[in-house]
Amino acid sequence: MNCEQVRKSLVFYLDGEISPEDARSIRAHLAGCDACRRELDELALTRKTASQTLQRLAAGSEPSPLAWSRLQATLNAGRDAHPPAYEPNVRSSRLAPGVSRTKEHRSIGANLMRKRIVLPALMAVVAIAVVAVFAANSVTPVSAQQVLERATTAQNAVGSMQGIHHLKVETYSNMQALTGEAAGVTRISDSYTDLQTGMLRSVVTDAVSGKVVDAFAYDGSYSYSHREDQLGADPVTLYRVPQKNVETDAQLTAGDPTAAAKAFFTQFTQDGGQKNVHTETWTDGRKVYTVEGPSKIKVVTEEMSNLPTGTMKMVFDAQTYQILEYQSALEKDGKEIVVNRFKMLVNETLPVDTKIAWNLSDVSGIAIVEDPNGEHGDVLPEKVTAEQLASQTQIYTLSKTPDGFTQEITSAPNQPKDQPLTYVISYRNAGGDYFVIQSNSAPASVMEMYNEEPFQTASGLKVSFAGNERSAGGKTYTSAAVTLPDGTTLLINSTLSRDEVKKWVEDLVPAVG
Amino acid sequence: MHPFHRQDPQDQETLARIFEQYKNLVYRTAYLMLDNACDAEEALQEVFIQVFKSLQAYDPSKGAFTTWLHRITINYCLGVRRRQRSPEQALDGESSGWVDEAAGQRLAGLADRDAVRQAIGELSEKQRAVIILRYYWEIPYAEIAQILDVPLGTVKSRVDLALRTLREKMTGQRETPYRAPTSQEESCP
Repeated sequence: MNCEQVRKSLVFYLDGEISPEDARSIRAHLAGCDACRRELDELALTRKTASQTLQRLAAGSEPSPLAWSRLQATLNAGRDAHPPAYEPNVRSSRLAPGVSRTKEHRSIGANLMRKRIVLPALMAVVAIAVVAVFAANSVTPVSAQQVLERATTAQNAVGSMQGIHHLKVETYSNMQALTGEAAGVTRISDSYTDLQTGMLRSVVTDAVSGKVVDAFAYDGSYSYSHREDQLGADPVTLYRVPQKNVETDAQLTAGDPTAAAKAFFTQFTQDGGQKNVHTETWTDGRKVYTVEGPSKIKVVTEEMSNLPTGTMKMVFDAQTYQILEYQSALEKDGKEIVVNRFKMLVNETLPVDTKIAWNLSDVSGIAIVEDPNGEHGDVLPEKVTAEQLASQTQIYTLSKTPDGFTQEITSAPNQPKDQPLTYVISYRNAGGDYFVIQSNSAPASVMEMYNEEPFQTASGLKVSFAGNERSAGGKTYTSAAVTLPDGTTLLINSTLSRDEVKKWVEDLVPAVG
Repeated sequence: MHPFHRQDPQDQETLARIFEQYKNLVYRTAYLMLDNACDAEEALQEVFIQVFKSLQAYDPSKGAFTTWLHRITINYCLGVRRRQRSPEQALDGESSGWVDEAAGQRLAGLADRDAVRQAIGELSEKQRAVIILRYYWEIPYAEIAQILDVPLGTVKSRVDLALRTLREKMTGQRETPYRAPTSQEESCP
């Protein structure tokens, strides 16, 4: 063999892909040829380095632990890729998403208001990748998206406005799932709401002990509630506070044990990542969709930076798109740890004349204490006039209520004097549009999210937007922060577009008490 | 006969077993071919969908199951690379022309292994495929020929050319733009 022949064969020689005779000839040539040996050494080094580099790169690469469930969902969805068309015959909600339906458990009054403010902003944080959510998969993106969009419409819809809505749900929650400090608790929440009068009652029992752990009610004249710091007391002490002009939305919210499910749902739809859907028929004949995908797990928290991503599985009724079940789980040490679980046990509307003990007189294991001035109980927000509110704090309202809209102002009575007053000023029309001004007690980390399109109104108010004009369910909504001359801020949530909101804030004027 | 052959491909347990056994084979090839964890995840899904759809078409007399799997994976990745390359983009190995001073410094500061990674990334897709099959999976030329559905001579010339190109890139002075390594931790869109 000459040099040229040898060099052409060196790679195959190194790879052991030549005949033994050729190998012998090459070795004989190399023994007497420095140039070819150098060539061999260089190629051997290249070969070794390439191999090591590939090994190193691949060693750090593992498929996602969710890969199989994702694939499985795709395969299942492939068998039933065309869910039936659904046209929900419902009115749009009067409630702003995240404004009135964000309670994780129960908290009325100031506490409720605080949470109301935190959640929309939290949504803003995680909503950035919404548009890209469904772009990744070419196989079943439409199905998962369709289910979630229809479900969004359904969750925001107000059903019947007459009769008594009876809901019974089971929830499991283990917020310490990651640290393993505490096992989760399973609770049964049984609630009734008179959709016309707003009377409500809700009793929460521990699923294991059967004991009442929480209860509250509004019987039209009194609210029955207990203080957050007395949670877990035995027996549960409820304070009976005379209350009038209670805000209707607050009543509906307080009586809605599915509020947490809705908040989880909103979070799920706004989280990025691949979502897959599959269909099942339950033994009772109900057809359901299960949508599964990554989701940030904790919903109501003020530690914005610490929301671990896990898996959320939500089951929707294929007819009504109501949430029937969900389960959120995190993975730790290769094991799946369930953090939250939800099961709809009863969801029915009873006749108007159904007898309900709104004053909880039939509930054992609770003690009711009179609280005529609302000093102890955690009271419901009440409707107030702009003048009443303006006498307590500086508020801004629209100079004139826009045509077709109505104004409602609510604030919890007897708020602590040493803290900024919390209140909500809402403008709503029959078409479901709203423009809601809220007092702001959100932490600074939330306010940083309002950093888009800053501008100043003619009257000197500084306005900026949060980056979540989402369109799930066909509605966009806009979140803005308004900084007043004294440095305090208001938050605005609206179904109106950014451009519209920009026009409306020009019309904000201080109300006179 | 391969254990999976003739089983009902709709049987979820069987599919789960196949997936568990071969996911790393598919994922790692895809990761090395596409140099990106997100694309590799996508490849994993797409390849297995294709595998499960055509499981009954797999003929053990025509080669090992892994050969078939490698073939589907490589073909998928070649397709992805083709789709990703827009007409304006330079072909493999050519600089896209943004070598500024900072990039040059970053390049100079690169560890050798990153230079090798980059060099591998700059090979043509077909050369890259043979390098991965041969030097990562250590598959013999004859089987690579089956996987790629090309004559043995073509495999030999591709391996030879690929290795020599790598040597040139690793020892040569040619400046090429640095592409930041992608990592597993990046979240996929």
